[in-house]
Amino acid sequence: MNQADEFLAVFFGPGNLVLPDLNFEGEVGRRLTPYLEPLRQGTKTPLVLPRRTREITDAYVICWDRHQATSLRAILEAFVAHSYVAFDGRPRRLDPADPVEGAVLRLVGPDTAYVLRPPGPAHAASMWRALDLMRILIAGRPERVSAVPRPLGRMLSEFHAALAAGNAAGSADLLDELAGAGLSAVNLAYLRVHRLSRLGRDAELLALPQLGDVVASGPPQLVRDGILAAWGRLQLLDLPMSDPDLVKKAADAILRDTRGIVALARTPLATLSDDALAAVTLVALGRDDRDLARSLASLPDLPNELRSQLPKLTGAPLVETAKPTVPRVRLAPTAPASWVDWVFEVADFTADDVDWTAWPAPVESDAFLAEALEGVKDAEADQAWNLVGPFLEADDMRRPAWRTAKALLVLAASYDRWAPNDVATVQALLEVFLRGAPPADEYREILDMLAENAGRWAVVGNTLPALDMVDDVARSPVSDVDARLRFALAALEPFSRHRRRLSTDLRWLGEQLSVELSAPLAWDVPEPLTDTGEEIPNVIGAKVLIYSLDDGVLQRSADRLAQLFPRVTVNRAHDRVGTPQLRAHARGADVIGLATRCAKHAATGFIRDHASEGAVIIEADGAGSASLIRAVASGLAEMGPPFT
Amino acid sequence: MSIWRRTIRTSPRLSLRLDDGLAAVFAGELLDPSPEIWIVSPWVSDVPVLDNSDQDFDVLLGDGFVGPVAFTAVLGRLAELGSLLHLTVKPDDHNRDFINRLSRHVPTTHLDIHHAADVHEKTLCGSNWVVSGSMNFTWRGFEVNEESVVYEIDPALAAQSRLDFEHRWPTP
Repeated sequence: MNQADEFLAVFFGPGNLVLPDLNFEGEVGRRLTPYLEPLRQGTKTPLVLPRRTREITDAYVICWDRHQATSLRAILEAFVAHSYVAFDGRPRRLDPADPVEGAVLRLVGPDTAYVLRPPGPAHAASMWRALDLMRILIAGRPERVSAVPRPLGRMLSEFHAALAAGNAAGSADLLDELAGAGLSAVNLAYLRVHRLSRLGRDAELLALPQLGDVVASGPPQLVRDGILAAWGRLQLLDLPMSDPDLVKKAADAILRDTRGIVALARTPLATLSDDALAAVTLVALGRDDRDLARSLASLPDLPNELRSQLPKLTGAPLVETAKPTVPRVRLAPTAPASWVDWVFEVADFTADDVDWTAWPAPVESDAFLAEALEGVKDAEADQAWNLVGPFLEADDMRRPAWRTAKALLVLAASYDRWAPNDVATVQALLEVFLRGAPPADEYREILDMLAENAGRWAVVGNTLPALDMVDDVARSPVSDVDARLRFALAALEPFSRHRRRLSTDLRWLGEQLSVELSAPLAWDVPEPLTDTGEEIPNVIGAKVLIYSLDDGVLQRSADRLAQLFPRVTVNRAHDRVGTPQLRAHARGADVIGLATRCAKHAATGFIRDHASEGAVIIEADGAGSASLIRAVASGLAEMGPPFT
Repeated sequence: MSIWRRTIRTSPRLSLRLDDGLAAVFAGELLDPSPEIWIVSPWVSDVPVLDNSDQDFDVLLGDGFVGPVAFTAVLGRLAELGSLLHLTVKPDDHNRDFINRLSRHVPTTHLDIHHAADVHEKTLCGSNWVVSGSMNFTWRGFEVNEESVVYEIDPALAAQSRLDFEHRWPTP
């Protein structure tokens, strides 16, 4: 029995009623034949396979790798999404304990299969007709010649920008692209750790199979910090450092860790985050390391809670310190020492080469930085985009560097940065720009520039970041009403025209924005997509938690979710660290939507660590209300009737 | 940064051989086995890698190993001690003989075999050491050709090599 036959025997075995006798020569088996051809012939085209449980037949659309799954997303959107079946564009998290899904996992791995469940018999027939047509067209499509790979540097800058912009799915796609583009396995592992750290996925980070090798490989500071901080958060968030028994227990745990994480607790300490320093403190206490304790004590901004632990080892009296405003790190003389310096040296230094975390916030040099960026020549435009990720990471919510954001927006428009992942970054830059309440002429210039280019970015594939952009404009101070209307019409009209390709919640949001911005457009918001018109029983009474550091986004998302799902309880959180209230909300939530842009890893990690086992946790694909609403809506859809 | 690094240039004319260097590697492994060992070589033969004629290695190997001890026998002993063995070779009959012998010594739970038509590098890698160079782990490599091999004790280099191998030839 070859691999294909083995897979089919399990896929159509227990847990799937489509072919109970496994007779591939019978009537049903013969109807299945064209669907099985890619597998039997060894061609790597996506598989579309049925799975029936009781009265429901799901379509499993199985891709051979994540890159193929990413490219198929838009095709599925075009063929079946929303007209016949709800589709949020996310691959299904397959259950290895389920025999059918376990077989798919063994065949192609995780994050490569979509599961489509039609809402009823009428939609099911239409969905399968459309999928059949899609299958035939894909099978008849000539083999694609691989495109010339994009430069690694460009992909890396896009990756950092996507991560900083809170574009979780985009950063995952770029990581897959980097994996196929020749980036070394070691650097790929470092980026994977950095991404999980940035998203607050502490448990997932610490469960990486290659973590031991990453630790032993001598990782860079950013990765070292990510691993130590994840460990510190996971072990310590609920642990008062004043309790010696609990401290000892946590210290023993890190010393016993088989991946050797304890080896990362060493000098230099100056660039480590507070969460990572907590882990280092535990190591110092656990092995009575006086030298390490003295190094910790010498840090001017070591949290007092940690400092209070050190006299046990150093013998020095405790000195309470205030947080200093000076940077911790003295930079190497060769590296740029400020944001403005970096702009003049973009050709020589990437985001991985500079320690921008030690610099004063961009807002301190906003005008100079914007002027320097406006002077960037064609040859350096690509490298200048390296600044975007760190700039967004360094953004101070209360003091936006709006002139710099404007200069980067102009750079994006000048050099055609309208790819799907770029649009999420452009949205984050627009939000920074608008938060700065720019004067009317600057406001008009940027909104008109974006409106002129709307044909490039206001397309169905970019629905979420595009609607996030419109929502940013709608909720921000307005200094030119006409410019705002021109922008709204240019941005919303393509979505109104293609409204049938949008999910119900996004059509509804489009209608809300149209009304708010006085842009009269048709949206035809349908009733909920079920044959019976009834709400999903599991969703009634569900508890939702949404997290973002942007209060405006949080408020608007909560208000709209309350209108969209009147029988769902929505709690909001914007804490920077774990709190008893956040713990209670996380534990009680059925669905958790996280906007990860500028999120505090301590809080997102805390939420994940305290969420109930059955909770659906979804990262928004952008930083705005549209992304957060879509994340919650897809999470609620996942709560639909369980497989039986 | 290497803790220790030695370059060995083998030359049959000058009686310079790799045996002593490899004997040190495998003796160290038998004392303190690596959780995972990678063997990456286009061609591999069941060459002797330890000379137990004087029974110097009895305490490490246990009973029943007299005279020259073959590669597969040492690897089998390491698997008994808990090492997971990863082997990457060209798909070829010559290598199949070696794999068949190895399979007799090592249970499938401790053996991860990959065939790669385009493999060219020659590397042995344990938890904190790497042996790499121009030499296939074959009789010609050991006895005939003039080769250059670097033996490094460097935990970071070994970890980076494992990350690279695992990325290219993932363990199922």
